[in-house]
Amino acid sequence: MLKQYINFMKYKNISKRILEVPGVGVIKPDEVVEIPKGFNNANFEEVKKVEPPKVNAPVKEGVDISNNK
Amino acid sequence: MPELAEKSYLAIKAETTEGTAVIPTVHLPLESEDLVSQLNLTADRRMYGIDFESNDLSAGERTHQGSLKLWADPDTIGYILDMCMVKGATSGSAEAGYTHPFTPGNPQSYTIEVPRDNYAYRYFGVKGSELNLAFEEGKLKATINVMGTGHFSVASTKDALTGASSSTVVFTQDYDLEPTRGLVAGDKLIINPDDALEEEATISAIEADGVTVTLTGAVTNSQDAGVNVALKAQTASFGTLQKPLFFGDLLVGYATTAALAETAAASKTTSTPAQAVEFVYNNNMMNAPFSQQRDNSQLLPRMKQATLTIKKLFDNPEQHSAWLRIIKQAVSLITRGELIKTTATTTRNQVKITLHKAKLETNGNPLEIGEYIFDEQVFKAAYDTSDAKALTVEIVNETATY
Repeated sequence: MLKQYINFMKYKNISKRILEVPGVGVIKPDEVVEIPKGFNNANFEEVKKVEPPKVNAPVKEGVDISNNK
Repeated sequence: MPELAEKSYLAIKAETTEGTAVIPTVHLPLESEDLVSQLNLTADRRMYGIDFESNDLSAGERTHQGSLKLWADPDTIGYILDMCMVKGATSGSAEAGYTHPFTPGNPQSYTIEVPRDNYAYRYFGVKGSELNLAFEEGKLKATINVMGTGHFSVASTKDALTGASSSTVVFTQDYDLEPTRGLVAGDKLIINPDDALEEEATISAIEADGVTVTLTGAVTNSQDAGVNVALKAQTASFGTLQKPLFFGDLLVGYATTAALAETAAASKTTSTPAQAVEFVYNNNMMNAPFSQQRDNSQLLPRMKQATLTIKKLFDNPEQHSAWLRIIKQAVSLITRGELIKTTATTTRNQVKITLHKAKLETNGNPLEIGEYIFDEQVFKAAYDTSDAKALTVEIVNETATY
């Protein structure tokens, strides 16, 4: 099955050991790999996407922003 | 779904608090396993106005025990010994190799998991009672008879779950008053396995009531009460596996003292060729019911004992005499592995087992037509008061910690 049709997630090897995961490969400590969702291993931590912080446009004093037409 | 046993493995981790489960992080290849919970069910034989044996089965005192068989490579044997003996202070370095001594005593407990397909069978408070080290197909293999103080694999929900709303699961008490014992925050559960409504959930907390787990979020699907909730098996992740230890790399040293036996076992020229060798260590673990829980809560080693079986060519009646006269001998087994990494030129992976005061229980010299005569020996390890020990068990390998 093509990779784009499977729900892949990023996982990081949080152990201090080089680990071999059958079907995935050899993963070094701190290395991040993409593995199908549902992977369950206490030596790995899911790397969650970090949303960029929302930046509000600066509001100028004295400008009426109540009607944004 | 039918699944081959080959996809299974052994996952282990030493427990911080004895009997309190942890999530295993070390995965080891397994040759066989027959660990099982003995529920000790008995027929309810109370007189009930019926003439059939009984109308129910009733739970008894539970025990959890069975055997694990692994290849005892230089790294794996450290975990095996740590489940059966007490590890002393590790010395050495990555370049020179690490030396791990083990002595008879009360071993630390482990949580272990052996999956069946996608479902984990977890045993906790596990200790080795008997260790058998023998060579099969020319490779050193270990069979450990282990016992545990509890088990979790699957439980059943007491209440219905509401999709997008329920974030706690309450289990029934059919199996135990505290059915959540053995679960750990971070465990993944499979709710209603193999059903159209199957879904996975992760535990965020085990509640103190012993029946409730809190999930990291609300479940997606609504479920009736009474659905199974299984512990999800881990995906295996193996460290770099060492080659096995081979029978051809075993050296056996005989002498009058342990030090001399180890010297004899240190080289091919001074060691004695053996055709078969088997070492058995036994903790004689007490596995009796105690109050506080339905499982056996106290796994304690009783008197420790060890035997060594050797088959070697008969040279002269020396061993026959040692048996007749109950003479003290010392026997050392050194199984050598490859050199420690490439930087080490002298230090090898190795396993050393020395009986300080070995007394021959039997020493047969059977005769068979067409066969050479052998000394077929069974040594009993006795406590050597001069060395203040019965056994030396020591491994050298590339694993820094156990």
